[in-house]
Amino acid sequence: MKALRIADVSIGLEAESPTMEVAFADTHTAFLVESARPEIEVSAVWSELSPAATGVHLFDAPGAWHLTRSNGHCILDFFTPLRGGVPYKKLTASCDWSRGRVALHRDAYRSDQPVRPLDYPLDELLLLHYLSQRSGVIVHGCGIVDGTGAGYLFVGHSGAGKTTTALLWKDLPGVTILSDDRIVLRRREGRALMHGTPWHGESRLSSPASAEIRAIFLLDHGVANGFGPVRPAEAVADLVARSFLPFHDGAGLMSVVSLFEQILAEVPCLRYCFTPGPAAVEAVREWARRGDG
Amino acid sequence: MEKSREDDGTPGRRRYAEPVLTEVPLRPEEAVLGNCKVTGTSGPLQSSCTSPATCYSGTS
Repeated sequence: MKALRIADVSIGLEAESPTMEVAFADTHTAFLVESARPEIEVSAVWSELSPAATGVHLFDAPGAWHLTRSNGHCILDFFTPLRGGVPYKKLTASCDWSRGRVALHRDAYRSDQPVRPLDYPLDELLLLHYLSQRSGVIVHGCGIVDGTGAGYLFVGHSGAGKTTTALLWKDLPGVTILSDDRIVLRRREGRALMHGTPWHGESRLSSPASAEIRAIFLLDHGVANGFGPVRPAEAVADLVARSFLPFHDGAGLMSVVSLFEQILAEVPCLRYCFTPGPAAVEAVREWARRGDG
Repeated sequence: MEKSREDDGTPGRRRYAEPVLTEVPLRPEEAVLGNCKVTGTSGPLQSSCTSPATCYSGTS
């Protein structure tokens, strides 16, 4: 079946209702593969959804989605202001996040177009929860693979300079931008890896490629280009504050913190002040040449 | 307590450093997935970043 593959995790999608035509989002195109056995299997079905979610309330993203647990399942309800308290979409998933069924409220969708059940934020929520149980995390960052294959991760909140950094690097020979907004971090076979995602920012740059992380830079604006040290505990805290976490899941949170600790034990992390311009790129390359890490 | 802050000269022992609490700000609007990015907000920017509501408004 057709599947969305991000960070070596495939999300398969098929329609359960015979009258439903499913499609993937345009931004998913570069991430689509054929997969006989995707890690996450999702089926989609038309339904008449009701306002009330029953079960144990776990988390609420006001106006967008909320998560409950009921009868051994994790349930995500999705809302839009125009539909009030009636969800337009509901995912009922196994709590290991490997299987799910998306119910789409029939009247909320146009009948003359294919539907895209995995549209944001469901695609990212699925991956976020799946990874949190399997040593992975999505961070607010810009991932850049240099012509040498070295992976540089620039982490920062909105406005910190992720898109600016991507634009500074994007036309350089051999450079791949994995995303200027969301990057998946995983540690596999003893290596700290970063993976591209389809969730890009204003540069609209994204790639399904991956790379071993050479360095992590905490972005900061400055009057000159330069690097500053970051204590390990401070680095973990800064990364946590710039990640998308399962706040309702203590074990998942601890797993992410542990992942950061492991990565930071192997990968240098610095505070990176920069001014937009080619010299900002050269400063990173010079740092890498000196082998400061 | 004051004595423990001093280096007693024993090889291999580190000078006591008082713990320092550092506050790292967490931005709820960025830590929780929910919004597509439009001018002045956080979230990803995607042409497909829609909901049925925007389909009905004729923007997709």
